[in-house]
Amino acid sequence: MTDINDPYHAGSKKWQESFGTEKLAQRQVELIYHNKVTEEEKTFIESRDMFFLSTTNNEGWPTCSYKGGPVGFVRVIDEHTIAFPDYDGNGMFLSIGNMSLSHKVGMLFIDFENPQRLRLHGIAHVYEEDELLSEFAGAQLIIRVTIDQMFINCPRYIHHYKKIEESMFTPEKGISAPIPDWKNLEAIQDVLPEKNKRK
Amino acid sequence: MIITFGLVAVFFAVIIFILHKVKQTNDSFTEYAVAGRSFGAKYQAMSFLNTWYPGAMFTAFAGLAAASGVISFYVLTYSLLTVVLMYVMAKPVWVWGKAFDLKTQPDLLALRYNSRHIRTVTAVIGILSGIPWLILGMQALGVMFVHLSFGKLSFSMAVLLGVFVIVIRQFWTVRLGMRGVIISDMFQGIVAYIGGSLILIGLIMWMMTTQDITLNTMDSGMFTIPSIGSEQGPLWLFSLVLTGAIGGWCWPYIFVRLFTADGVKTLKKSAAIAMPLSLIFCVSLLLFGMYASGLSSVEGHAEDVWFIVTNQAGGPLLLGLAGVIVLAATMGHTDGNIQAYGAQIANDLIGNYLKLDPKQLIIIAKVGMVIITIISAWLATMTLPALFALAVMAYQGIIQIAVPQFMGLFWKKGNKQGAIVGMTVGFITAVFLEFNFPESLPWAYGLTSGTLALVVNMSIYVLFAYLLPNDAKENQRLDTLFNLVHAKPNKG
Repeated sequence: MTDINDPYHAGSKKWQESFGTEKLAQRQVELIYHNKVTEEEKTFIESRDMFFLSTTNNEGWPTCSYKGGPVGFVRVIDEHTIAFPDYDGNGMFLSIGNMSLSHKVGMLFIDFENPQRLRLHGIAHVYEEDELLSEFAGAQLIIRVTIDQMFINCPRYIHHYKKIEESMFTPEKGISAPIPDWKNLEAIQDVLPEKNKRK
Repeated sequence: MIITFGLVAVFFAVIIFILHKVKQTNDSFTEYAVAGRSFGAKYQAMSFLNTWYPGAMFTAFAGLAAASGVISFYVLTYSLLTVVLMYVMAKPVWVWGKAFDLKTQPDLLALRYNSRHIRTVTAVIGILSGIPWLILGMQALGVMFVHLSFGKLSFSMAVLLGVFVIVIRQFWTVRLGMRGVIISDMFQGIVAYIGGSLILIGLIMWMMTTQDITLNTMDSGMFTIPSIGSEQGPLWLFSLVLTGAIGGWCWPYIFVRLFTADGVKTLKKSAAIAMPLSLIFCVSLLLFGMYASGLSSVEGHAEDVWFIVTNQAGGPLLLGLAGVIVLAATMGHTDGNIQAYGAQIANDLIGNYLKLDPKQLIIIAKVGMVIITIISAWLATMTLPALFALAVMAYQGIIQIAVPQFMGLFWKKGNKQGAIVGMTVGFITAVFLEFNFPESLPWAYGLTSGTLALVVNMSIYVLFAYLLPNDAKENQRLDTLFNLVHAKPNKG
């Protein structure tokens, strides 16, 4: 786990020094770095319908993916843990695979309508059997993340976007999700898992 | 007749021109159902008024004022209280609507109670209860056309003409969805309530100055209200105001106004704009009715008071304008009604069980609107002796939605079992009592069937909340939901 009072490594410190921001960076550690979810952060996280997830593979190559779902699909379990479901995807299991190996994740939660964002670093574990599976419609796996550090981020460069409509593919209890168009392509019909095949 | 029908035709042409200019911003169902939550306070206020006050205000309520006097002011009391409730409900409803992309009133109840079934129950109650009022609205236009034709059109022909006008108008409602409704509401609202208020004030002045009618010349019976010892019972007036005020927000076409605004502040501001407009319009209308009771021509024809007095005071020109005002008010109400039912059929009935893309939802909503329009239009041309009784029964029934709706917004303990059972038993109780004891219950001190059913409904709701308390997970979900309402955006 990272030392919450000294989260910067040599690389960051070098650039802080070059730009004269060491004190500013340290002040931010004192003011905004923490590893326990506050009530306000809980509300913010649980009111998101998307976040960006970064993971690294066994060679250290990072990847970043977009995760979307119904509002509240990321749940704060306790002040040190959050959880979110894994839904049916493209079948590559890049993020899930990375989390199974290296476990380290970065998560970025953004509100584009009332610009604000929250960054969270943590240790993720993927569960095939989890009591939360029954609580998230459409979930095939559950990922639990133990928080290492988190902090709010300056929202100044967040463009002001407006949500037009929830994706029609968002899983919903009691309603079977439609199959995306690309899974109807002839080229992949012979390799699709049974549940995704055209009926 | 050329003048009266000509004025109506010009007004209708202006509405069509305005609608022709309306452009939708995208092809999402949110745009179609709630206009993308994009309207400011002025549009919101006018849209609320145009949906709230139907054309029947100029016939039924002006008539009530002319026939019974100050008792009619209960409509003013509950109309103003309804605006106050808009202010109170604005925050939770809008915040949840925005966060969870809610489009209808049943959507909100489904979210609050974590139940799909409540969505169906609420939508069915809403649609069934609204149809009699839709038919009455269409028939009211028939009455209007009889007057505009100076009696030359038979009532059945006039109703057909009214239905024809409404059906033609629905072409744009179906095509444009909520955005078309709200933009036309602005013009219709200005004509009906600002124009209407000016004419009403002018007519009051006319009656005071040229007809020598004053409050002193009126029958003393015009100033009495039912109280202890009265035939209706001491709680009758209270019941009327209570059911009117809380019932207002039970109608799907009124409730959806809370989703079309671009923010909570807008909603609150729109309440502040609607309040004085509502006060001036309603006071003018009811005083007009009371003053008109002094005219011999109105005697025995109270419901026609608006047309009789405008014709008497200003001839065909003023009568034509009176017709335009009634048409403007009726269209606003009917369009909002039909649009809301279309959205409910797509979103809450079919969309509640099938995952549909926005295009499919919009098509189903459009088909639903066409079907509702055709059924109502067909029924409007028929003589239905029990229609008004059915409409009153529907009102007493629909207000049962108030318990899960208001309690759900402000009280975390309420659960889906209490909401569904309470609302259903309340609805059945109201219909049963209304059927057996129409108007008021002699043994209940004047409480109406709906009010008594509300007591039953509320008791069940509260009882279930304590007998079947929400589990820890549901409490956690509700905490998050309620915290969301009070979350302050971090502006960095």
